Amino acid sequence: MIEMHQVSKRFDTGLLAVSDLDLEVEASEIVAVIGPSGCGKSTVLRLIAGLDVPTTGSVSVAGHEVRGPDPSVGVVFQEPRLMPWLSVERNVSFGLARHEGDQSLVAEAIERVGLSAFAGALPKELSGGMASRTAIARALVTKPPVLLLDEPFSSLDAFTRVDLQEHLLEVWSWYRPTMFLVTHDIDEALVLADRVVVFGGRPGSIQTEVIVDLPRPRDRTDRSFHSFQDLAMGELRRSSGERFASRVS
Amino acid sequence: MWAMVIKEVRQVRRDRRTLAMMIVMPIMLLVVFGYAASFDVTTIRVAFPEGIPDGASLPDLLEPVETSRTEPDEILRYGEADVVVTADGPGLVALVDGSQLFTARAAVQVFTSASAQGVPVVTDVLFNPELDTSAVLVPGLAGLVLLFVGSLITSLGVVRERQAGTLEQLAVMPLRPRDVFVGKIAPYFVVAAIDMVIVLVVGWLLFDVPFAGSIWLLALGAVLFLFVTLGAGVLISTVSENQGQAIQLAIMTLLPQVLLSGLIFPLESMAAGVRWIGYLLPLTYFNQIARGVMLRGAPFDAVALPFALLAVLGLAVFGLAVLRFRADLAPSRAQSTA
Repeated sequence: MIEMHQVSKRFDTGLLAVSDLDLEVEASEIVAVIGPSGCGKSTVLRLIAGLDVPTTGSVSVAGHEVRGPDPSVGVVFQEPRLMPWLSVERNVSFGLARHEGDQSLVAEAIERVGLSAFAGALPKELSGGMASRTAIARALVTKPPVLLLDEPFSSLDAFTRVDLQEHLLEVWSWYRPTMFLVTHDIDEALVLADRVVVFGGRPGSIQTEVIVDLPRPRDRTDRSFHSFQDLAMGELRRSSGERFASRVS
Repeated sequence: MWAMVIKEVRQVRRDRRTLAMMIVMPIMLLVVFGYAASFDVTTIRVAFPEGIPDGASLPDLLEPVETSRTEPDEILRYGEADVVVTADGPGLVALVDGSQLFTARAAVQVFTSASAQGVPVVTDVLFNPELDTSAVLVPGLAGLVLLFVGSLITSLGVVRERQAGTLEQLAVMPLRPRDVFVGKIAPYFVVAAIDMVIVLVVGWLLFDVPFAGSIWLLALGAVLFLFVTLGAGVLISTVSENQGQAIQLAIMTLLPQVLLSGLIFPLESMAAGVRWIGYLLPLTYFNQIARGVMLRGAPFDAVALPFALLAVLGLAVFGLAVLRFRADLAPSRAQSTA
């Protein structure tokens, strides 16, 4: 569904964020990218979203080269970025007025994230978790085949984060979109993803991949989950260590 | 304290736009006030549809001009001359275009003085008989309002949206870039239009500013001018990282227009080099259209040239703004269409 071939991204400042990246994500697969700050995780997401242009290489979604933001790719950013003067319902339906039958889609998307009772509420009346759920509903309202999530729960408390991760899996089971999640949280990656890609180095590149072949829902207290935690943490430490070493040298 | 001074110097040096403003602005003001800030009239164009009277000697200030029209009112309405001198029985009548305030005042002085010296000439000021300053300033001020809302307020609105991340959010929503662009500037267009109507109505009610021409013609000129100013506002927003930078850039585009468009100082009184800068500024042409339509009742063909030049500027600035905005909103898409 998502293909990146020999992708590099150099910014105007001269910084090479990502180099010679090859990555494939299958349809309906959930892939999480973890890695230390500044290793180019979010840059990869922005390239897939069409918000940035690769310097070299190609990025394609569903067989079509990415030439800018596309309705077939939904994006959830770190901050909910809601319009403060619009209700939850109007935020979710924003931009859809010209399509027929949107209202039922809007109601369904809001229901899927568990906010039906707050459809008329303004963003200032919502908790952080509810605002994040609204942002997810907004990204899902057109049922895009691909959903990109850029650290969507990082500003929330641990309890709300766990709650939203469960919600996200319920949403995924709704129509099984391909999900590409960028996160700092190893647990979040292991709970949600089929595959965890460990990013590291500068310029950023894939250090290793961990296939998480645990059945869902995943029990965070389970011994096998802990072994994946140890594995991912080890890889992450290794990539951070290499990056630190390369910086020192 | 010394460390603080060093830090501040380094900070100013790093902020190149502020540095440019600190250096460019004083130079610009010096040049402008040196070469442009002049109310002196050096030439008054005078038409003699019936020919120059035999034996008449004209003061140096008066420059006879040939005109394509013969009707005195039409000559002035089309801006072919500042003064038309015609025969009136045994004497002469000097019809003066009151919409060119400083030229008109100088002309009235010349012909009144001639009359005092025994030349049988009567002076009659058309379009602005009392030679009111407000009558000449209000049409230009309407343009200034459009410029303020179009450039400054629009650029601030777009930059604020980008800083909040909303613009990026809009880019990934099921909206076409043109939906975002038009939706973004349409409210400013309406607000600017309402502001302009308020200025004109207040000018009419409080200062008795005449409205001799077609309101639709002025509206068309205002729409064209708004395209330029809104385009400039969007352009400013695309090269500004924050609202402070947007304000700086907007001021740098507003100030030359206020000083060099003929709004305050007559273009004819400026030194040639500075005057040519004025010819590149959209407010110059809106000013000519507004004064022509409101004061002289100029028809379309009388103001066709400023209309055409405003349209060219509008196409260039607005077109560039659309391209920059698209690139800002969706870089790869803009690149693929380039």
